[in-house]
Amino acid sequence: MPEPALKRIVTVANRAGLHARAAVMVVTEARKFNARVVIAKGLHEVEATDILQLMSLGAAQGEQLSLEGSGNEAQVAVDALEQLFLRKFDED
Amino acid sequence: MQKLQGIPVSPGIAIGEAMVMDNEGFRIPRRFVARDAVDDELDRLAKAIEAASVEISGHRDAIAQELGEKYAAIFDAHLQMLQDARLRSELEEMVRHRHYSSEYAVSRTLRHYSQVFQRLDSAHLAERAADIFDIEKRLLRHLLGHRREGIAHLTSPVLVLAHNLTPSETANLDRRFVLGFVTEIGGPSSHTAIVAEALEIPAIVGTGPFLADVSGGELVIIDGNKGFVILQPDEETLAHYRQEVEANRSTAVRLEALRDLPATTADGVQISLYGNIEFPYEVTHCVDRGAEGIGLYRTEFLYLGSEIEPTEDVHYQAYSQVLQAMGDKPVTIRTFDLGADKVPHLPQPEDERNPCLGLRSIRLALRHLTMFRTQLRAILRASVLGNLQVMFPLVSTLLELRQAKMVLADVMEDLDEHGIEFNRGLPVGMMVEVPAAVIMIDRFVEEVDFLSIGTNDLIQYTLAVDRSNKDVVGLYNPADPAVLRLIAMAIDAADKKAVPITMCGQMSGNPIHTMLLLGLGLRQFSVAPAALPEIKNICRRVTLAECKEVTHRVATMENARDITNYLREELKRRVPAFGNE
Repeated sequence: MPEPALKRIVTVANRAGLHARAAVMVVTEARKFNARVVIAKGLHEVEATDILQLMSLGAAQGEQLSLEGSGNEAQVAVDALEQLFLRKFDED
Repeated sequence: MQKLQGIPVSPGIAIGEAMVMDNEGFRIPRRFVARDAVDDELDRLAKAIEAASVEISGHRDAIAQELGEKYAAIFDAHLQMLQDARLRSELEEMVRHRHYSSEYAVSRTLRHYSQVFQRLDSAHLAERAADIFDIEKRLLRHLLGHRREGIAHLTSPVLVLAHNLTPSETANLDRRFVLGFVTEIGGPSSHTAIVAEALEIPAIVGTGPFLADVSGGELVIIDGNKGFVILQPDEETLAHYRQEVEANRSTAVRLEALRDLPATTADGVQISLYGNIEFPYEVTHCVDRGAEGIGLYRTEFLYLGSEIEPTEDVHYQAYSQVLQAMGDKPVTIRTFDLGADKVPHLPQPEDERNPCLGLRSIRLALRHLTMFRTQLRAILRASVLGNLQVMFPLVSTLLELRQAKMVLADVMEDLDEHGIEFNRGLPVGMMVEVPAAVIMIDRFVEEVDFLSIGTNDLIQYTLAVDRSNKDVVGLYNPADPAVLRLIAMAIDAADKKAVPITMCGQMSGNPIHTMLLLGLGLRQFSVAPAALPEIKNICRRVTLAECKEVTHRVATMENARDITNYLREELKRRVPAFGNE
């Protein structure tokens, strides 16, 4: 029986959007946990661990994304990723 | 063998290997590996990715140490992208199942990603396409070793085939290795045409789409005389063209002997031959062929090669290079002759539906005075370095000429105030290329130091023909009687006031027209450097009396075709060496 999916909505607050460096932070963070996180912009869903796919979302400042986690550490993984967005990827 | 017809814009024949340029630079040839070599190919791919990763990590650490972790972040991103599991499986799939070479797989896959990024709405993210290119380049370098080409880093001669070439692409190419150009689009006045002429290599534009069939590396022939592009020629065709190349070479050697001889007609009339240039390095081409000066120094390349407006110093450097090379021989700089749509740093004009009749050349200069003044300052500063004169393009009214001269006077005053040296007596001339200017030419000659007839525009405006439009290009003919009457008017008016008059359009460099122009009274020709020996040869072989006869005869004819045929026959009769084209 899989864990129920955990969903969170975040806003891209940093000026440059989900660009290369920010995407690296997401990927690095996502890989720390025993969880699968899917990031979606509208209907476009990608794995949080896949940098090229993440960047191809084209998430710009002000846009909303959903983080959906599953697996043992889904809760901590989604929390950690949400923190990155809240911290504006340490930019601005 | 496949034969295409395009518009020949620069003469000559080139035979060599094709290099295909697409929107993102040069294209990796589409190559395949044999089924039993797939494992080796996958191994090669893995090693290249590994080597590139090591390289990036090295950069990362060095930058982190030198500038801090923040600056190293971009290399983290590159490393992540390079090691992206999905990318890896896409690459391997292409090699394993489609038998693509690693180079081709890398190029295909990464270009797909960069296109995705380029389409993103956010400018910040779209710029990331540059990161993908960077990774592509890095991987290709490891795969190809030193064979990595790129138009700026060629190591062997190639013929460049492209959909279109941007001015910066053509300006940055390695001149030693490019033997010719073919572009799918473009017309006779496209930048490719000008650059090819400057480089003295054959070029053909407007062939229509054909690049989908070419992967690069094939043998290609460019016949810049007739406008043929021949892909993968058969033995017979190849032999024919090799022979022609050989024949051209020996003609060139014979003409070289004329270099130091004067361009005097057989009956002793002194003719002056000048060169047209666009780039400072072309001065050598002119000097080597005995030009008496530069009759037209086009300055557009200064604006086209970069995204930002050239500074006064950029202008000055270019001009001083040309002047120093020419010593005390005259150099005529033409102020920028561009449409607003061609200048990247200017606001795009709103109503430019008809650029030929729009905001271009002197009109644009008078609208953007700061830009105009920058160029004039540089010209004035350079005027003390040699024998410099300046001319304004596309003048159509007296008011425009006066305004341009006023701006020049104003810049002079400015230099005076700052104690900067310049030639106060700088000769000022104008291009005669708008029919209105010819009709009013008796008034213009009162206000200029010299005139220069620009035939390309004069023909286009007189006959109302866009020569890049294949449906009407047949109407474009320098020998049209209406055009000839305008040219005669301009020469006569200039002679009456003893104002020197030159012709610098393509017409003056075409041997067919030389006798006619001499007969009309033209004594100064400014031509593409490659045409100098031919024109000189004709001048030396004919008498002015003969030329006047030709002119009288032409005056009785009614249409361009008859005139052209007659002129061709006359040339063949008097100067046989050039009759065999």
